[in-house]
Amino acid sequence: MNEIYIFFGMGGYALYVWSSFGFTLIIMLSLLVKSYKNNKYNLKTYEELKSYSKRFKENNVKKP
Amino acid sequence: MKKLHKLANPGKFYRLSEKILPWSNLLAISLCGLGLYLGLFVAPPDYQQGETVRIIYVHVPAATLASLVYAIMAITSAISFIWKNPLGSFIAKAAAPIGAAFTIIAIITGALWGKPTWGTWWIWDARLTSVLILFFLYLGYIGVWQIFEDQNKAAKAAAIIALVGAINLPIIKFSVDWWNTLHQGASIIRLDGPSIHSDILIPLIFMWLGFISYLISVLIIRIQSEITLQKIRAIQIMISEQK
Repeated sequence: MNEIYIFFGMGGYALYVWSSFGFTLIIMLSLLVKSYKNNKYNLKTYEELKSYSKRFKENNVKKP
Repeated sequence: MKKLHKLANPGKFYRLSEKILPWSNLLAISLCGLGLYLGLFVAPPDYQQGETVRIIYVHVPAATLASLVYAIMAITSAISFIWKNPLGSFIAKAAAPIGAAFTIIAIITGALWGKPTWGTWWIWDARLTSVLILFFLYLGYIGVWQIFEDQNKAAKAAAIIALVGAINLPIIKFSVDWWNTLHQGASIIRLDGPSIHSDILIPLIFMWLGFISYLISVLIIRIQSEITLQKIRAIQIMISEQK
């Protein structure tokens, strides 16, 4: 128990050390998640647009 | 050269990047995990700085990559500008938010280290100021892409910012030598070898490689996103022309 206390205590500098690691983690993870979601969203939009334009072309051809 | 030309084709790049992505993900997780384990549990505290020295395991990789990403951005912008290749500007556009993230991490963790070590969160010294300018350059670059509606004009304006801003890179690198700064000089890449002990250096190298793998992963995801966006635009234009 005491060892855990010493580890997280960081020699009295816990606030500075853990804030640094925490801030880094939050920024890097949120950028990763945002980029990933954005990529998925774009891919979905692209697939939708592709099928829409396909139908659009077919409709145009049918109209004499 | 022929291979380079093939790579410069967005479709080819997309397929290649799909193969790299799982590996860079795996490397990012395992290298950062190993680096954190060694840095937090194995490495001893510094005899002067105590436990605060552990902040360097995130500060140094973030700070070096902050400059590296800007250099990538400047080079790919120049290539795109000269050879009129769209992939170059996709890479630069995709890289900018990652560079901005690394820069703000470097500034904040630097402040969190500076307070207990120097006694101040911030000082207007050459290194800190030039890195703050780097952060504003990133914001300006990202902003330009949003201001212009015409993406070709945006690409040109953004490329100019990326190239002009690159002047700041040698200033950041040599600021600790040219001016009498509070920030310490280079201690890892030196002609006479690193000046820090291997117990601290080894976890730092693992963290640095882990951060590079993370950079590769996120960059790939963002470039793929840009390529898809370009395809979306092409279809939109096609539809609007047929209407």
